[in-house]
Amino acid sequence: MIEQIELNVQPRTVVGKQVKALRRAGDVPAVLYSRHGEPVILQANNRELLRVLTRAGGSRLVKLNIAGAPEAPMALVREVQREPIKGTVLHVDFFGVSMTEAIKVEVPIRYDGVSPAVTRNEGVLIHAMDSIEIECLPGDLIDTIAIDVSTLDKVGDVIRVSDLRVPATVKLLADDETTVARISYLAGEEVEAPTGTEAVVAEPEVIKKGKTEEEAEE
Amino acid sequence: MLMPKRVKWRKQQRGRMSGKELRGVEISFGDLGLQALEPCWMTQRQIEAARRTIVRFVKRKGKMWVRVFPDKPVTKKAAETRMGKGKGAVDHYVAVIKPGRIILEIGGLEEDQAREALRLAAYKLPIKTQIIGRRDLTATASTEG
Repeated sequence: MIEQIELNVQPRTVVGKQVKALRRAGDVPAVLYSRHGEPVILQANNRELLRVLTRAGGSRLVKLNIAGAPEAPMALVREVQREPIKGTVLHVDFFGVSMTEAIKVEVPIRYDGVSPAVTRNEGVLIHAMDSIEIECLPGDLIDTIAIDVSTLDKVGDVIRVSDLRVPATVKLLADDETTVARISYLAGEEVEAPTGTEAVVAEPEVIKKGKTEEEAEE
Repeated sequence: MLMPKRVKWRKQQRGRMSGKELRGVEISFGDLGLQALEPCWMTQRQIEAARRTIVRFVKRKGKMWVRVFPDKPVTKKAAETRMGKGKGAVDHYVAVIKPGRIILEIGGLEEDQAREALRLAAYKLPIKTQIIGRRDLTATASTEG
């Protein structure tokens, strides 16, 4: 049985630019929305929220204990907005789920093992997908999808979506032929251009306005 | 050297570089990346120098992605020319970099090797940078360069 993740949140009254003050005080603005019902704006303690985000990711259900509310809705973390340089959390979207309705979720792919081709220095493992969209009931959600890359023996070998093993209750939404991981050729050795005698730099072509003479004749 | 193949207009105005970058701020292809912490005009030579440093360091291992492209023409008047008589000729091309932009990404290498390669490449750039890892839904700011 997977441990239940809970987060204490408070209803929020502050909106717009005033949320900056909220962030300075150590809280993060959030919103809870679902297919049914109106969105609810919330705020959560930054440290507690980070702890929950690390454990839940985007593919585990979180029980939101809203202060003053009679029920604690189950939700998925849908989007985390971050400050681009420091990476601090600016805002979180929670998507409220009904346990009887199928949902679409992005589940991370975990790469296990080491490819023999990489060990032999013949190729490099390219992770074409880091996550994949699945559809299932909230109760059947899976944390990650693990793939064993040790089966990729030579350059050009690929793992496709059809090779992924998931429970029967989970439906993969990506095309079966989509590449998940592949062994690509190593980068070729660069031939150093002779210094001092730099090649003549060609000018970029300027896109002309209007029709060309040939087009005008037609 | 990196430069556009076709352009709509041969010369551009200078523009401003205020604020932080909002796009191209996440690692999209590799495992580690070099993120700009200051704004600058990064020339085609600087980008090429950083790229070469990584290629030389990692030999034939791993894979690298250059996430910026010098598409802004910079003009210069010829030496000892009097002012006026119109805008100068195109001298070189630059990429406009704002804080937060991922400049280079590297993947398929051991972490310490990848960090060293990016550290060496950072010396070729005219701005302060930091090395960052993937920030998926859960991860917090992982590294400092």
